[in-house]
Amino acid sequence: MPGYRIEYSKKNSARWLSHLELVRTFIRALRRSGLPLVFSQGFNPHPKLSYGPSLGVGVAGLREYLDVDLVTGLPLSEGLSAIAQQFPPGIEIRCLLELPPSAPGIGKMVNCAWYRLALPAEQDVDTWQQTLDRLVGDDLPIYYKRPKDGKLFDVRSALAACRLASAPDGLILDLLVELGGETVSLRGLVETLFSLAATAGCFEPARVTRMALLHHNGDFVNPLGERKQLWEA
Amino acid sequence: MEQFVLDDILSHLEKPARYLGSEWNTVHKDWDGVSVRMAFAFPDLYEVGMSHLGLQILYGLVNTYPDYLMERVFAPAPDLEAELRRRGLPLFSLESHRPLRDFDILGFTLQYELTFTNILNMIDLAGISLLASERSAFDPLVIAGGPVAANPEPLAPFIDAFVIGEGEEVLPEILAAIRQIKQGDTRWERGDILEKLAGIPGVYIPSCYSVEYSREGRVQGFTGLCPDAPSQVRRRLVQDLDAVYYPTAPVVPLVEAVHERGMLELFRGCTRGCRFCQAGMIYRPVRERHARNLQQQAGEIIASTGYEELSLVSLSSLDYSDLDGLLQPLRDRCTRSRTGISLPSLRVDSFSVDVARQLPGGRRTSLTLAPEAGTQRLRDVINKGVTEADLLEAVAAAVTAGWSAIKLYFMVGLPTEEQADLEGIGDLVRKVRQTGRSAARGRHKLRISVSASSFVPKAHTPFQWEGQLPRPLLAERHAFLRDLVRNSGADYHWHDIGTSFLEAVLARGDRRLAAVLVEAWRRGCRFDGWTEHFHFDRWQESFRTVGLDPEFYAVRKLAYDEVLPWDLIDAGVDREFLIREHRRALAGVATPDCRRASCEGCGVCPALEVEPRLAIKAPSNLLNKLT
Repeated sequence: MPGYRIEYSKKNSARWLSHLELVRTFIRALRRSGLPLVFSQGFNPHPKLSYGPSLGVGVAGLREYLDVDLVTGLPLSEGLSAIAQQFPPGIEIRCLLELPPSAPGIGKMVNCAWYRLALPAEQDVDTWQQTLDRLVGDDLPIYYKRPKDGKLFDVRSALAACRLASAPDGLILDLLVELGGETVSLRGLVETLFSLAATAGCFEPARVTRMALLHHNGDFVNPLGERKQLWEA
Repeated sequence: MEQFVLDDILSHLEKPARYLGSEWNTVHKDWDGVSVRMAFAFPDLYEVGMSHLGLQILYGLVNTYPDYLMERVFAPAPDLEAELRRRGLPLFSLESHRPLRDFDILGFTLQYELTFTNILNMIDLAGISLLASERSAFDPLVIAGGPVAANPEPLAPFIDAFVIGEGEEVLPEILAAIRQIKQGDTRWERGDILEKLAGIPGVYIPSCYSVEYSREGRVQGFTGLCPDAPSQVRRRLVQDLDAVYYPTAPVVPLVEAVHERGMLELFRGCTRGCRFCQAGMIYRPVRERHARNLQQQAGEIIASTGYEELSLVSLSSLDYSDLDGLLQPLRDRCTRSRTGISLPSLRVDSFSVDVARQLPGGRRTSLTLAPEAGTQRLRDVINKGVTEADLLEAVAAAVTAGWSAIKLYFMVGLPTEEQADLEGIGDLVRKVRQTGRSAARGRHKLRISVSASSFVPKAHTPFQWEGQLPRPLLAERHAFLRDLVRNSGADYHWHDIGTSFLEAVLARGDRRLAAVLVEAWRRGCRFDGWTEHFHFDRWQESFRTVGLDPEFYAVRKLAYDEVLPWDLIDAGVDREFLIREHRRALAGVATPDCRRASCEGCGVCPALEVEPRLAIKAPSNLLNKLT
């Protein structure tokens, strides 16, 4: 049974969907599309889908992925047009790829994520540049304590790379975050950065966009199999 | 509302997707391109309201008119309410995020008495005066309809116009009247608008009547204050359900709703005549849709929604006269699209279990059956035509088919209930367990759970004169049953007695209760139907402050010759019929089903100039004609 990977973006009003709500939206959109889905067995058959790492409520994702098995293969353009119109506003299907039989599933493939945080207005560029320099220049762990149970997470080891850049409405912070295992949450990471910069600010999901999901092992490869440079869209 | 303001608010809320308004199948019209704009307000959370068929029907219907638009609004969760009040922002619609005040009409659906404080809260959050008498010509018209409008009186001071009965025909008539008024040259006074609406059959304008009370505090009579207001407002209903609009592209919720499935309405009305059931009385007579029409609708709903399940909703779906004509083609269609079919409730007999067993995706772990009373005597009193044999056969069929859990519904505090009836529930549970064991033949153990509600007398039923048992007695009986049922090998759950009591007060209430509603709302009462939000003490304080005794409404037995607070509403069923049914109940005499036996003369057909309509005639009738 041929496997396909759908690349989509989740933004604007759709950023407010939780992962579960997104999943249910996808299931129904795929059912409406008329594509030959593969269903599970049992009392409540559902289409066999695999999702990439979940995106928090309020965070947008520009390049997100979903793997779906179909009973029979079909031309990509046909598949794309079947599903492209089935989504509520904010969810846009970007492309469809047929997966080779040996390709790892999206869940296994991705090991890091590039998040872009739009800093609140009037943040000082020097303060932030110094904060980032300190982060990359040192080796000692920086801990975030999770409020609900007091568990400690090393923020520095979760952050593979970071940079500060300018945009028309203010500063942006690009973060490359390791995924897999129990690492600090995005909220924890951002709150720690604000406290390191000793500047007012808190985690506002509406300011965060996940720019890409990647596999890195020296090089960066995205789930469509394209080689990318660091910070290359 | 500006996008950045909305985003800021949403970031502080749980389940923000409730307030997006961008679901699949929503209708977004050009605000300036229509003449009349209405907001449909469901006075409970999104998750509850999006399961409601009535919303989908009226939303879809009104939006088919090029000149009208309808948007939705649900009761704001406490976190949204806090944000709105903190920022001084008004409650907004979902589709365009506009303040409710911008609409011409704000329409509430009345599904459950314990949503009344939510209604007050939503009116207040909209920036509209709570009291209809204080609204200006610039305030939207606040209307309300739905089953609880059968006794609308506790809400009377807050609502400009009630819609009594089914909305498909009367709501467009109201919208047309408003359009006419808006497009006219003169500016209308609010009172004149209401008088014009009073002339529409099925519209009840509370301000057109005053209520007089006797020294003892009972309703004594009504006085009409407007020339066009009828002495009674007669219910509207749709004769031909095949001809009327039905939503085949319903809005698909983004946040998980209580029930998320496509809905097919097989018929309206019910012929069983259970004496406690208000819906069975106020939706008479039965009117079925044709099987091929339902087939067509099913296909469209599946294609337009992608729902995993289709539900056959009606008061007693398996009484549908053309099940053979419906189920086979429906099963085929649903199997093709991997859509399950479900029945919200089952008749208590093995036939219905058999049907349920064969529905795709229809077998879940638990099966629900509702005997309602523990002895045949009491079941005959309430006219629930179920025998012990029926129940045990249904259980045997269910267990044989593989169900491993059975849920039984009972009501406590029914009229004439005695100790023997409560013990009867224990007997039934034991027999159900025994039957389950034999049928399972050692394969698995049958889990039984009993869910008991407390009897609430409802307007326009034969039991409308009966009182609810006082709370201490209800508590005693539930406690007795809890021990009995648990010792018989089943779980026992019962509805909170305080909420059942409040429901009974409001269900038989008059206009004076409006003051209590305001007090309770001011004390922070909201979402009273949710246990975590129900504050019985605040309600008790409210009754005391206003000086009304809630037991007067809930517990008191009424006399046949009393004027009832809901006498302004004509549900179509003769008072004499209800009295006759009540007397038969007290004598333990059952009344047959009018779909299969003869007419019992309830009076609704001549009164409303309608007739029962079946999809096909029952075979036995056909046989009678041939021989």
